Amino acid sequence: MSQTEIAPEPFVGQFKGQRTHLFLLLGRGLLLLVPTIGIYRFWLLTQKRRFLWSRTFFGGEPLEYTGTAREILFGFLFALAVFVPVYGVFAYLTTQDELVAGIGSAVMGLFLLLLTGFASFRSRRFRLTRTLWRGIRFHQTGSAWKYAFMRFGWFILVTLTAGLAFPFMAAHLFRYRFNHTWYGTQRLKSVASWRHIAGPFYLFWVLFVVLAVAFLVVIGAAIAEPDAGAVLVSVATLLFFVFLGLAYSVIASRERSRFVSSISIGDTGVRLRLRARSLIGMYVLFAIVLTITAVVISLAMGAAAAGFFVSLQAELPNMSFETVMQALGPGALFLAIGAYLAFLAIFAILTDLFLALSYWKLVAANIELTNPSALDNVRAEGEEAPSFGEGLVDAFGGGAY
Amino acid sequence: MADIRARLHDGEVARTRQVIVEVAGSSPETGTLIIRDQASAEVYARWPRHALFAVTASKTLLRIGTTTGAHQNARLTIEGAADVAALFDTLPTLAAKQKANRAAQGRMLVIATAALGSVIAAFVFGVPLISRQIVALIPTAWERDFGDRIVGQAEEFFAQGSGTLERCDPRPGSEANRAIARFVAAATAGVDTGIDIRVDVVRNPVPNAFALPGGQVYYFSSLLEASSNSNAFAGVLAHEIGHAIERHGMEQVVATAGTGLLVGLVVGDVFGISPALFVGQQLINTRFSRDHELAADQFALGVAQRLEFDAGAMATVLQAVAADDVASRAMSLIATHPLTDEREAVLAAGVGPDLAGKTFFTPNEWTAIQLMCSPDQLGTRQNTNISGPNSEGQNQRDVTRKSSKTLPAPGTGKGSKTGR
Repeated sequence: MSQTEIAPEPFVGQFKGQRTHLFLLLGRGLLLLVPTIGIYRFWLLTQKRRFLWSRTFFGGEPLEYTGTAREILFGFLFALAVFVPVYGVFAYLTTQDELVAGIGSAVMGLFLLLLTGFASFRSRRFRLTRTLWRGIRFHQTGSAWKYAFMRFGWFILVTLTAGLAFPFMAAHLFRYRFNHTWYGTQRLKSVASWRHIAGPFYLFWVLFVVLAVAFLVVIGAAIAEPDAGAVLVSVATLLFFVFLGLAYSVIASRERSRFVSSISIGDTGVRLRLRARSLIGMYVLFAIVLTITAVVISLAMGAAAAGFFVSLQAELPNMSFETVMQALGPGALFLAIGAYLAFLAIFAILTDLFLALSYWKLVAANIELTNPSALDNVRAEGEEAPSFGEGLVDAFGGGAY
Repeated sequence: MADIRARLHDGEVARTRQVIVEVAGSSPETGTLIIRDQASAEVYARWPRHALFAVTASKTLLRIGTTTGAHQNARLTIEGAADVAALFDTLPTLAAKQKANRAAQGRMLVIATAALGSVIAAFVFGVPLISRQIVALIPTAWERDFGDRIVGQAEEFFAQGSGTLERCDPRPGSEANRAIARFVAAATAGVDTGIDIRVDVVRNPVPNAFALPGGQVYYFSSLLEASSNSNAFAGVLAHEIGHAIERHGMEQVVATAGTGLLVGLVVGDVFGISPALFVGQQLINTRFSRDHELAADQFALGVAQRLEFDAGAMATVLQAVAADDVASRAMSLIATHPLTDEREAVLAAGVGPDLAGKTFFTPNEWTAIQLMCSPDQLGTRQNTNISGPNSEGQNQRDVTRKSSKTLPAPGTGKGSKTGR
């Protein structure tokens, strides 16, 4: 049972969910998206969160997600009130001359970038205030607009410095998020610093520049010698992507580990040890599963198409495009749309199963809460926040947990 | 029943309390769940049985909350298959609540879907109506400016493709251009729309004709070659003038914006670049343009009645326009085939027998028009126009769509490509 009263040792995170369970949930949900014209996505998102939260345990006690689909649906409707006018402005701009349309669209794009910062902060507040652990809910203070402007300014600075400012941005925004996060009456504190990730980040930044130059040299050589060049460019491109994946995994794992470990909840410390090789393993597995699925689907579709054309074989050489389409019938278009939707669904399922779930598991299972008994006296505080931010995120096409 | 061991979080403090749960009272309405400390037997809470609900329920783990307590986040956790089963048996309302909750969710889902369905229906049927109202509010001068602003795009588009928008005969005083101007004036006589119709016959190997917002009509040389007689030419021209006068191009622009928003709403990606958005938009717009084609046909028939020529020949030349890009032909399978039958019926009914054999253009005029794009007309470029200032244009996407859908084949007459 619970070690709350007696255990001085840390709480170790556990994830007890089954991938097959999530698979069934997703499959059912994606099928229901069709008859509900997409409305079911709010229910599906809620179910996914319930699944992830309820199977994540700290000190033997699970998280609980208390949000409902209805809330997210209403949040989306509110968000529409913002997006309809914005959309109207965009539609109007497309009818203007190129200069006005270009400047207008750029300004609107920047506004939307600002709005995504606002939305992500508000959405985070929604999720926190609907997360219970040991009967106490989390909440978030701080200003979403302030966060949005800070993030916006950092994006511009990172762009202007060709990425060099990234560690500062990441640490600053992380601190802002977690210093405004509360577990009941207990405020969280983060001392995340750019130094935590400076080492690997700047190392890979320099390597990136060197490799990019080398890559350009290879392409130059390939243009000079077209025969051997094609192979050379393919190999170089492949290596370059492998390098990017490697760099991302190392930096992201370091960032997550150090930043999360910089958090304290009163006298309770948080420790996360996320290894780069775990992330790499996750991406490799995803790539393998994706490849296998793609091959199987291609073979199946190829066989179906071959079957169809064999059935037409005798007449095929004499048939125009129209008659072939006629032979397929109007069903062909619906079939194509169906196949397209099925493809999207399969990709979504694989992403959820082998990236989102795997990542969640990795983080959950590698978190430790040191001196957890300090949390025993935390009292309830904070109310459920409105779902407007969730609605905005949905309208942006995001589907984050 | 035996007491059940559980953990209590009272929703006020994060501390975990080891408790014993006892069900008191036999009725679900009046009974209570008494929760006491395992060691001291002190009563922490009494939860009315009717207010209990299951937060999570598996065979080995049951979490219960209550809707009446001071703290809505209070939770009781029971672990172990035997205890879970025992409590579930004693508290039948838990399962009933879960069922009721699921039913409520289902109702909500049905209502939301029905609401969205109505919104879609309102869009599909309302967008044509509303866009007509909106277009009525747009000044015609603005529409012409809109056309002017993007004329470059239209020309670029055709420059990349198979031809240009170069006029065959730029001299406004030539016999052919005067004949066309005479037709335009006659066709639009008495029609007060503020749209200034300009017709250009342009050198282009694609058999096509289309109208842009602001009144510019293009008739491609290749379609002219395919026009078997002057009535076919006049009929198609009247059809395009109908599009221009009724401002169908503008309506398409407005409708495209509207349907884009709708599809974004359904897919949950208002600014999405997802192909689903494109497909959905196409499906809705196709239905919309069907109405436009019918309206333009009816306009053409009206002109034919008024100017007394036999527009029946129009159907034959429409065949030539059918050859077009792959995507639109695939789309036409669900959209424009029913349309062609419908239009065929309209065209057949609209051509009165009394007009048989009558023409608008004189034989000399028709000969001149046919010779407009012959090689000896090359090289006489002047920046003039037939019946108005040179201002035309539409955005690229609309050009492609118009060019593919303006004149689908009715499927009658010689040289049918559709095989229907």
